[in-house]
This record gives sequence, C-alpha cells and structure tokens, in this order.
Amino acid sequence: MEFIPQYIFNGLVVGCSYALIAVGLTAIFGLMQIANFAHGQFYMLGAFFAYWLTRIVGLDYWTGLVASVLGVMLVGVVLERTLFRILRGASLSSSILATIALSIFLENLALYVWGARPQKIVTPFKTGSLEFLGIFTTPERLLMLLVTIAIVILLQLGLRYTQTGKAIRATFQQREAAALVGIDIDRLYTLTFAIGAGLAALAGVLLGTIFVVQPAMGGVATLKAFVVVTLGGISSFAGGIAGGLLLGLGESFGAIIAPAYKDAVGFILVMLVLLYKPDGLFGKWS
Amino acid sequence: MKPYPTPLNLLLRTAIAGVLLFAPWLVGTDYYLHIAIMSLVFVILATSLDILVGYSGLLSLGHTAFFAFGAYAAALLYLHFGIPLWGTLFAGGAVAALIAWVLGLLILNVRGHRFVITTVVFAECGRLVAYNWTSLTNGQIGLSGIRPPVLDIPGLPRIDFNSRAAYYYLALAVATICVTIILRIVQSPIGWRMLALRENERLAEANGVNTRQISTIAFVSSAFFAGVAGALYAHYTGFISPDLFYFSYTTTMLIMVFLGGKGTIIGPVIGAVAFTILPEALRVTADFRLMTFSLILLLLVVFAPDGLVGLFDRLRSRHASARKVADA
Amino acid sequence: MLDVRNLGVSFGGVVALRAVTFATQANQITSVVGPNGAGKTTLFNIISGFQRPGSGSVSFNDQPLIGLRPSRIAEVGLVRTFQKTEVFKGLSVERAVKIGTACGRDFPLWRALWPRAIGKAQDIARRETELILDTCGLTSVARKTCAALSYGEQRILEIALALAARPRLLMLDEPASGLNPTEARLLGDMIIKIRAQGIGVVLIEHNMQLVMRVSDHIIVLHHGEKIAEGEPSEVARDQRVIDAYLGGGDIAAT
Repeated sequence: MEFIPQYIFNGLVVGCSYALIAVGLTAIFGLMQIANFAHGQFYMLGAFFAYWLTRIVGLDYWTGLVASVLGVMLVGVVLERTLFRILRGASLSSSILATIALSIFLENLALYVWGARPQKIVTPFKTGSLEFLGIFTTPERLLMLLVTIAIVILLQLGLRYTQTGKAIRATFQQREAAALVGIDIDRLYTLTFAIGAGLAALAGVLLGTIFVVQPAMGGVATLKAFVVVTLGGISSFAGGIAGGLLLGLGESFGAIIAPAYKDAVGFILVMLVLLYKPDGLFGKWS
Repeated sequence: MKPYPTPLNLLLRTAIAGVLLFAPWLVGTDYYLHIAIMSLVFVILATSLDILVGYSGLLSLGHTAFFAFGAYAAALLYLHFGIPLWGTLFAGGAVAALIAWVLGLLILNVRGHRFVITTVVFAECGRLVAYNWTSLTNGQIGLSGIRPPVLDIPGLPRIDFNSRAAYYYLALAVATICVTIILRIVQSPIGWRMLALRENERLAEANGVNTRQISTIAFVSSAFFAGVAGALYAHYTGFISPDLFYFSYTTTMLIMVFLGGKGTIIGPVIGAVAFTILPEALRVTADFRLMTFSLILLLLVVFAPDGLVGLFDRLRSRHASARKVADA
Repeated sequence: MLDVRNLGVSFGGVVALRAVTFATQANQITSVVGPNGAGKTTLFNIISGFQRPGSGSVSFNDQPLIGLRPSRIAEVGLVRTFQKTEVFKGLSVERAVKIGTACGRDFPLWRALWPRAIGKAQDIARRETELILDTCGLTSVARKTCAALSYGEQRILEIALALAARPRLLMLDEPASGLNPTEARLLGDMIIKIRAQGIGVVLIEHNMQLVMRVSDHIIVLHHGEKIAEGEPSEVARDQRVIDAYLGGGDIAAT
C-alpha cells in the first residue's frame, strides 16, 4: 500500500477539477433554476478547443488555454441567449430532458469533428515528475491545484467586493426583489452562464494534459458535477468546492479497495447524503 | 359509459389487428420481422417508462438498468438452471422489480435533479458490476447461447420458437399482455393518483394520496415490465452484454415516449414502433444518427411536449363537434 | 372532534407555538385569527401532518395524529387547504375533482387488473364529481384547465378538491385572501353550507367580516400563544385581543 498523503494529494487534484465544474453548475442552477445536464460538455469542448489550437493550429499552450476558455465562454453565451432563454420558465423535467438532448448532440458533434480516438494536449512543462514531502506529482497536476486555489480566492473576492458579484449574490437569494431593484437579470444570467462554462472549460484544458481527451468525457463530467452538487447542496459555492474535493478524495481512496468500482464511490456517497442529509452537506442556505 | 365505436374506428382497429396478426406473411423478409420484434420489445420498454415519466412525473433516467437486470436474470437462469422463457419472463420482471423496490426505499424521498442523477448513476453502477463481476456475468464478453423455447405439449403440434415468425407471435403476445396491464393500471384509481402526484405532489398528499406508496408502485411496476422486456430480448438475440446498461438505451426510450406523446400509453406504443422503423428507413450514417435523434428529442421536448398523440388531439378537437367523453 | 393539547414547536431558536390548547366540536365553524406571524399556518401544518411539533398532542375523534403522514390524516377525515393556491395545474377542473374523489379511497393494485372494477370506480367518481361541481358552482368551468381559471375560481376549486376527499373536518388556510367582497360573501355562504352538510370547519382568516359572520367559535393566537377563545362577541370585547391588533379597531368594527 502506498503512502497515504499520496492518495490524498491525488484525490485533491481530481477533486479540484470536479470543484471547478461544479461551481459553474451551482451558479447556473442556483441563479437560473435550470438543471443544465449539458454542463459537462463545456469541459469537453474546452479540452478539444485546446487540443485543436495547440496541436493543429500550432499555438503555444498558454495562448491556447486562454483562447479555448474564451471560445467556450462564447459558445455558452450563444446557448444561453437561445436555448436557455426558452427554458427559463420551463418545468424541471423539461429543462433536464432538453439539456440532456443538447448534451448528446454536442458529444456526437465532437465525435464527428474530432473522431473517437483519445487525444492528449501537449504539456508546456519540460520537467516530468516532481517530488515534495514524499509525494510524487507532475507540474500539470500542481498547476491544476494552484489554479483552483486562485479561482476560489478570485471568486470569493469578486462576489464580495465587486458590483457584479454583489448583484449575483442578491439575485441568488431573492430573484424578484433583485429585478425590482434594477439589476439587469438578462445580462447577469448571461455573464454567470459564461463564467460557469469558462470554469468548466478551464478544468478541461488543464486536465487535458493529464488525462486523455475524448468526446465521451463530457457526459462523465456532467454526472460527476451533479453528484458534487447533490453532495454539497445547491445554492452554495462552498458546497460545490467541498463536494468536489470530497468526491475526489473518496474516489482516490475507493480505488485502493476496488479500483474497478472507483466511479461507484459517487453513488455510494450520494446514497448516504440522501439518507442522512437530503439537502446536501451544506444545505440550501449557506 | 363508453361510446360505441364508429364504423371508421372499427375498420381501423380491424386493419391494425390484421396487420399485426398476419405480419410474418406481409413483411416477407427476416430482416423486417426482426424490426417488428425489436419494436415490440421497445413497446414494452417505452410504455413502462411512460408510467414513470408520463403519468407519475418521476424522471427516472436509469430505466435501462432494469431492462438489463431482467435480461441478465433471464440469461443466468437459463444458462445455469435451464429455465425456459416461460419462467424467465417472470423472473426477469421480478428481479428488476425487487431491485427497484430496494433502490426506491433509498431514493424515493427526493425529487428533482437529485432523483434524476441518482437513477443515472445507478445505471452506470449496474454497468460497472456487469462489467467487472466476470465470474457471474462474463464481463464485457457477455453471455450468449440464450435460446428461445420449444413448446412440446402432447396432443398439440410442436412449436419451435427459434423461428423468427414464431418468436414474433410470442413477442406480440407478451407485448399485448404487458401493454394491457399497464393500461389498466393507469386507467384505474392508481393511475389517477399517479397523475395527482405528477400535477401537485403536496396537494395530492394533503388530499389523501400516500405519495410515497404511489411513487413506489410506479417505480416497481415500471421496473417489472422493463425486466420482462429484458428477458424477451435476451431469448431473442441470444446474447447480452454490459452495453445494455448504456444511457443510449434510455435516450431511445425517452424519444419514443416523447415522440408518441407522454402520459398516454398509446403514444409510446406509436413512438416505439415509429422510432424503431425510422432509423432503418432513414439510413443516415452512424455519424449523424445520434446527432439527429438528440436534436429531435430537443425539439420535441421544447416545442411539442405532447408528441404525435398531442398533435392528433389538437387536430381532432378542431374538427370536433361531438362532446368528448371525459375519461380519466 | 379535534383536540389540540399543549402544542409547541420552535425553529432555529424562535418559538413558533407555545402550549396551544383548544378543542372543536362537531358541526362547528372555528376560526383561528391573529396578527401575521402568530403561528396560525404552523398550527395547521402540525395538525395536518406536514410538520412535527416539539411538544404536545393532537387527536381527532380520539385518534392521535402526531407522527402520521398527511395522507393518512386526510384518510382519517381531516383535510386542509394551503395559503398559496394549490390545484392540479395541468388537468381540467373536471378531471382534477374526479381524481380528488378517488384519492382517499382504497384501491389495491391487483384490482386494477379487473376492468369492471375500473369501470365501477369511474362511474362512482363521475357521479361524485358532478355533485361537488354543482355544490361549488363550478359546473360551468368544468372543461377548463385548472390553471386557466380566474383567481377566485381557483380558490373555490381548492375547496372543491378538499371536499372531494370527503372530509369530516375541513381546514381552510386563508380562503378569502385575494377575494373581493362579493366573492368573500359567496365563500361565507359556501362555508355555512358545508357546516350544514355535517362537516366541521376550521378557518384561518384575516377577513374579519367573514370571520364574525360565519364563526361559532374563535381562537386568537399572538406570538404563538393562544390569548383568547370563545364566541365571536366575547372575543371582540376581549382587551388582550384588542391590544394585540394594532389600533384595536379590527375586530370591533364589524
């Protein structure tokens, strides 16, 4: 059996990607009351855009990263302005089914454009494995961790101190009141949606240097994101982050016991939460 | 009191019955019979899903898991104990129903996205188990050699259901029985309570509907029929694998339910037949297939949630002069 | 009939109800009144099974209700409506009431296999539906979708749905809210008709004209405690009640 801190570290790295994706989902769900089952596709698109820009077009990694995230944010804006605007008043069932259909469409579009063969994004780092405190890791993984920490801090600051951030928080809690006060709901939704998509795309670009990139990754990401949201509770960014890390850690340790059933850890955790804390670990108002 | 069917109605029913009964002679090739049998399997699946999605408002998107559990139960019982289809049909349904009941105990206290995601993840877990428990399921290689039965009753001619035409009639009989029972359930006060659950759960509860019990009945009964369909499928194709747990099967069932018209039972029947025939008729290449289908589902959900039956109803009410009988 | 003893509950440190005790008789219209936030709806929620109390007991015709689920309490004969109008949105009025009549009645799953049983159930339901629609004056809108009714009609429909469940005690949560004076008067007539049919009524209301007109018995809550109880005239003169309402003019001015 390997060094325990290694498992913790690995779990945290994966958990960070889950957290980034889930935070966007929480924002969209909490703000717009739409269960976006296509959210994981932003993760997939981010990875594929980066692959295409770096491998085919020939940009360097960092430019590719920025361009990919912006590109996916643009896609997000377009989708929000069209489909998601129609879905705004719809029932939960309708929005779930419609976004599932969208998800399948995007996945197969990617399949058609880029093929099923798993790809990898070329890493910008020259060094291979690193070691510190007995834990082995790679620069890419470290980057994932650092970027997530940075994003979390930025989000916290942004929500607390910027005008838009306060508007988001206000609308999160009291939608009608916010509209009355004069907050431009439409613009806010578009912005939030774009940020959510961007965060997922960022996770995709970062993870694409560590794991393979393939069209099916979007669906898996959506499942994980919803598991995280169920664990952490909606209407709470802290819940999304904590839930993501919890899932990552859980899967990492679950792999010790039964590597083949790693993905079932999420299911078990969800069952536990539903039985004992149906509103999620952080509940609805956090 | 039901109105006496009009002559046109009677003619239509006779025509449909005729087509169904004489199909093997009408369609000719084995290939089309295959399509017919597959559409019957999906008729059972789609109508069973409609109990949940259409009538009860429960978005159980892991439905294919019960189809797969039924198929595996049937396969294992046949391969290890020699139990023929007559037994495995019920066993497949029973196993699926039992699993649904246990799962229901755990998750039927929540609704909304949490319920949905749990059912989806459950199906994925089912796939993991089928994939990895190789000693039981043969893993990704799957189980094969599941043969249809041979009927050897003394005094009657020997019927070998290995022939496609014979199996077609078998499937037709099973599908008819299943759809009839499902129809009875949803037309009964049980079905009315499911509607109450769908339309306003809190109000239903306050008016005396034990929503926990009704949602359990819906969940378990729909799983039962999905399991029966699984057994029927296993004995027909002779081969099953963990692929049956894939979400794509649920997607297909969803399209069938929405295409035909959810919450109507007859809608999913039409949807199942139409959507089994359609992909074959269109012959789009595999690349565009799922893209087209998902687009169809998207458009249906957003713009025509009542499907073909809804469309038909709207056309009919425009021409209606007679009073529509209000049947629940 | 309804016997509430020492009912208490608090949420997050705030005491919503404290030692509330009262009883209602059969064939009586009881009104529960009090300023906003007095705990009236919480009281209803506990009695009807949607919330658990911290302490105390509730029984209906000597049957204890605490711990039973709402549908079971409805089966026992206690049916409530909600403050925010709740109907079966997507169904037609006729269909909604029809479903309502079947709700509390037993119909085991296996009986569904017998077509004649279904036909019989449908006939019974149809007859009862016609009766209720007639009683509530909804026959003219029977074909419309619930969601398409006017606000006043929806409030009546709510009561019709509750009646369909064949209650012995009907609990109405602010049935007159949002109704104009004419509609409120018609509502009062309906409540009196309901009592005449042998069904007890407990009412949460702010419309004092309605309350004073129909009630046999009034209970006044304030900050979660019962501060007065008795016949309308007694309660109207009670000083504590007058003090509880700002200005004190509300009850007296009827």
